[in-house]
Amino acid sequence: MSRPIRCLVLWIIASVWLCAGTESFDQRIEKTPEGFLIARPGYAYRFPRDHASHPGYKTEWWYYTGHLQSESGERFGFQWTFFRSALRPPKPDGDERSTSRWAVRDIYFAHFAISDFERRKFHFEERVSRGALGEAGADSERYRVWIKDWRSEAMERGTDAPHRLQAPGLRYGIDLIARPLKPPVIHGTDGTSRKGRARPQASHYISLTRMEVSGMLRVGHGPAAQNHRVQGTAWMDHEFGSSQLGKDQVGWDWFSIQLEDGREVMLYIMRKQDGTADHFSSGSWIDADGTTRHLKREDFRVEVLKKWKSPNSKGIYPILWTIHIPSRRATFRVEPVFSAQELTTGKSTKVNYWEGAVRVRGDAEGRPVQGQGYVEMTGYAGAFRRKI
Amino acid sequence: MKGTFLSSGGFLIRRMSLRSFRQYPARTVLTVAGVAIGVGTFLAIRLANQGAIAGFRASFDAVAGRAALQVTAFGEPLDEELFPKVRQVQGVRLASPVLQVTAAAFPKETETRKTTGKGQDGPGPGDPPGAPLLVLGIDILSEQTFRDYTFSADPADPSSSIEKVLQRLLSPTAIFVTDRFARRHGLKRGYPLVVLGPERQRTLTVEGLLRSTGGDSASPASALDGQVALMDIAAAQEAFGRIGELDRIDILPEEGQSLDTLVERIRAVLPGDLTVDRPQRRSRQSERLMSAFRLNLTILSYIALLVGIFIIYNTMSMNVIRRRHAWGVLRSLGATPRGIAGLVLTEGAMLGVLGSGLGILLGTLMGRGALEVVGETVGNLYAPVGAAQLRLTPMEILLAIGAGTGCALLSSFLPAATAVKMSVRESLQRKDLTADRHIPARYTTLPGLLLLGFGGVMTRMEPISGIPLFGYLAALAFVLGFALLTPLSVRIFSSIYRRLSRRSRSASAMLVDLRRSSGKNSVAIASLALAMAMVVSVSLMVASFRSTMESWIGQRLPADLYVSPAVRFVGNLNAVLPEGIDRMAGRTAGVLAVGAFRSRRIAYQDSRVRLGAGNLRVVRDHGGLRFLSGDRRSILDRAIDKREVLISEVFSTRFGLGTGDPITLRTAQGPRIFRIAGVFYDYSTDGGLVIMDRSLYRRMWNDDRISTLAVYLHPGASPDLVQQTLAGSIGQQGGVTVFENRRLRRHVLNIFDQTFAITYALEGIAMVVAVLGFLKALLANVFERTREIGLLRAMGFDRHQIARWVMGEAAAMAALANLQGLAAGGLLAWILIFVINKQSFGWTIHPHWPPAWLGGYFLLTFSAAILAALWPARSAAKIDIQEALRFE
Repeated sequence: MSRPIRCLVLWIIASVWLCAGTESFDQRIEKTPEGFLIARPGYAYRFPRDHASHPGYKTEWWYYTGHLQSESGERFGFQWTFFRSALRPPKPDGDERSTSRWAVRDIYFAHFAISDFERRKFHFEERVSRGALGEAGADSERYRVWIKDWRSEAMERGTDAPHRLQAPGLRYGIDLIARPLKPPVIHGTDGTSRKGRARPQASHYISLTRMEVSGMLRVGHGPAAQNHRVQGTAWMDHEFGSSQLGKDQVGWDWFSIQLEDGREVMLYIMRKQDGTADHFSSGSWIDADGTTRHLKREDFRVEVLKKWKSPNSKGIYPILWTIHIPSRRATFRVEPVFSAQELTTGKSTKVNYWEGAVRVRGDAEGRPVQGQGYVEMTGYAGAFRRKI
Repeated sequence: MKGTFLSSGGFLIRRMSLRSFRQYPARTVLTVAGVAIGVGTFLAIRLANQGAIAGFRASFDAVAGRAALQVTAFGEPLDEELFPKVRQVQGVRLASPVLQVTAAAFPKETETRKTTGKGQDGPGPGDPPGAPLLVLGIDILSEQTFRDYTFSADPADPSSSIEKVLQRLLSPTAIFVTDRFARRHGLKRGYPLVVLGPERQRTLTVEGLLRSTGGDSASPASALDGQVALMDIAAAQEAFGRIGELDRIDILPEEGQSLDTLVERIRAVLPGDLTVDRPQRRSRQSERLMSAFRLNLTILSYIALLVGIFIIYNTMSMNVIRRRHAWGVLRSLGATPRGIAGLVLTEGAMLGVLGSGLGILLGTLMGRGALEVVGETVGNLYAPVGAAQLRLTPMEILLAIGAGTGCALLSSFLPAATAVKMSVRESLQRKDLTADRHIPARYTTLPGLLLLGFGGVMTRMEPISGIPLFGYLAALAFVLGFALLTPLSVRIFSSIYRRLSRRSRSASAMLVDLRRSSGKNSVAIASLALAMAMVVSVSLMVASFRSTMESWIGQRLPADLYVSPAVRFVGNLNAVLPEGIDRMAGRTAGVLAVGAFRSRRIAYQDSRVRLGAGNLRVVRDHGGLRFLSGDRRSILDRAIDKREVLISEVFSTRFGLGTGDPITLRTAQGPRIFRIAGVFYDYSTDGGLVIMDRSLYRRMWNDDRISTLAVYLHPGASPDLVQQTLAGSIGQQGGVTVFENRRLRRHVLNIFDQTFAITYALEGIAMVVAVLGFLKALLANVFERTREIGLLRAMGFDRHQIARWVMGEAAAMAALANLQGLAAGGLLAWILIFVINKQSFGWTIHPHWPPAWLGGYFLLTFSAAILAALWPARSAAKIDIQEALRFE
């Protein structure tokens, strides 16, 4: 039983991402059989409201990744993720029975990982909560999510209000302020990021592709702890939907690239069992001024140049890529800062994923360019799909 | 020469010892059996005690989980609003909410119907409602859950999605039972399980199994013999009607956090009547309560060992005397006296080792039964014990062999010394030696009296940390003192007897002998008397306790009917009755008065005591409490009008408080000082009880709940009818039993009898061993007097007369032993009641000496002794004249 619980995180990821199916995409269906809302084209985004939680949808996450540099020049990568997964849709007003306050409507998860570039150390912590008696939650009025003292929230009311990100972990801790430098990017087409053929298999996917970060990073714990003042750049994803699992995918690769010239690229590739990329793989190209272009499956190509075997999970991951985006005449070589950035959630569960800081070098529209980013890969270590 | 002798020691043992064992197999078997029973009993009790305590500790620790600290309200519910406060205390890494409900489970639908069908009169005594099941409501998603539990591998269809698994895990009807429980009741995943909580009955679904074995022994699932189940906290709150409540909060501190600082910080956010403590400390506290009970058993087990020593002594001394010819031969062949002594001791040790070996087997067998009984008793009296396992460690084996062999060696010393002292000539002559071993009464009487005096002083000493060590010392001194007085009593007895029956020829022949061999006979008499004394004293104590209990129950339970939550009978003392049940009962036809009683645990100083809140007006008018001193009515009036409290005798003894003293209780409003209006007798708990009026309690604790209800009827109203009406109107709510007074009393007494079952068994064993010893002594007597018997036969006495003579002697010895045993037993009982019990438990037992009972004991032991004498009588009768007189 512990296995499913641990797998839940990946299930949530998967339930948004993974999709396939044979049903036709029926525009008329607005709710899942359980009563959750379904992501639909033409959704009217309103910010900052849409940074906050959407309890009508089954699954929702907020995802920060970024590169930090301390005053003394030490560099770190960080990942801070908050998941919300509803077991049942909210009831119409005032219909909540006089049930236990421990009754679970949503389960909350948080992941916090630090990549220490200099020492090539990777540290990961997770939290789970049912959110009873205010222990965890996601506010639907304004952006505010938390599990105990790990929290993230919008510090002001405005559209481009800075976010405060706190995760006092066991061996590392962060307290950061992330200021969006660009307006929110809405991925997909017509406000919907489609994940599969069937109607519910879509999500609303928003990114703040460039955030200026400053704050404190704690290394170590207790009296021996060192506090570093840090600065850097982060990327925030926020996605919500109610889609069901697909059946023929084994995992996915996700790339977020921030180039020094102010442009960003996001790509996701759904890998099918036969090793090919699913039709619904896609991406976005964001110009320095915030103009966003949707990238279809045919608009990009990813080549794996090298593989790496994880000593923990024994999974074999791609570890060096070349990305071609012909329409932008762009070629990027993507290389991790170091290889061992795999999150292993327990040997018994053997459910693992790789999420790590990468460096990017290449050409775009004829000019050499470099940058940084984060890559996420699932389904390489163990039979990820079968575990789910 | 000496070297030759020593080097041939093995040969000698083979030739002499083994042959002698073979020659007299029956006696050897008797001796070995005596040692085996002694060692076996000793070991069985040790193992049972250890098993029970280990089971108790494991259960306690396991149920407590691996929390470093726990916040509790001393067994009372706490408000869940406290949880966020505790969780946020700096230094707390993880706080987990726990709801702990003792429920009754009905694994099969049919059983449920049967039981609910007879819900009319509630479950009968000794007929608990279903299988007791400790349901732990926990946050099933918490990290702590996975730390503490291993879920059995789920062979479920792989197609089921995590979402469905989660829905199942968190479903309001999901329950997880241990694999052991499931196996026992034929449960599988998806099966329904009807669970009767304090208030109502719910049909839950077994959604998974917890691994109780193989995995982690500290997991709660391994505790309580698998009678543990998990539910999600939300489901548990809903299923048991405990919305908004928790029973405890488990706390895991951050790494390197000082516990003491953390305790201080947590205490600062808690209301006054809550505690934060290490779970181990609470377990040890409960253990201390039990130590008195365990010590009682241990002491009893020593009796068997002690009697075993007498048996070996008899055998060895008989062996030495019987083979004196052989010693003579050995000595004349150059063996040293030390060599002879060595041989005797070796024989003793061999018997000891053999007996101990058998004793270990026996002890393990008996231990299993004893463990069950002890476990149940401890469970009844203190806390549930489960999964208690008998652990025969090498240490225990060594100890048992050591005890058995040590006793054998000890009791072989005197015979060995006798063998050494024999001159070669002496041993080669076939001369009666018994007369030489006469122990003069004057050597033993003074030490005996001194010991008695010492024992008397010891009874005046205070206990050491709740254990009446001096009381036990006094008992031991009395036992030994009486044993040492035996030669004196033999002399007095014989002289009285002689005066009474001067004319009878056979009688005088016998008496001459009884006096002459008083040394040896004294040992036999003393051992029988000792066993008798032990048995009598323990029985008297138990009988007195029982009669005290009986009359106390009569006073404590004056009402005609009692209403209580059914789960009280599976040990859930926190269960409360449905709201409004008192008013409902009050309206029922035939009901004169209703007394609601709320019973809960509170902290007093560093201990856990019970607090009872009753309608003292009803108690005043209808009875229910008896006070040590003072006028009952005025004490109760003071408690009602002046808001004073009443304390139990145990409480008074334990904390040194009495009438008129102030007492500070930690109420929900903070510490409050009350005055003690009176001290009442109570035997319901050895932890102490405080009683106050309900109105006062309600004000101090804001608690209006009721644990039990006493219902008084109009004179002439039929208890059966009212009981049926009450049960009928409560019926819908379920989980409530209505007991008729008589049945409740019987239930309480049943528990009492169960508690003391092991004592009865031990008494029986002690008696068996004593009679065995007595038999051996008689056999020895007959053997020693072979020549004498031959002479008597030659003088014209026939076989029947000889047999009668032996029987008569046995009767006289048994009578003397019995008389002495009764006297000593009475004294020991007095120590047990007024010193040991009072000091261990703090309550007064009113002595109860039923003469018929004592007469019965006398008769029983006497007849057992006479029956045992049949064998030596027959062997005496069979003695061949010529063979016996060959050496003349």
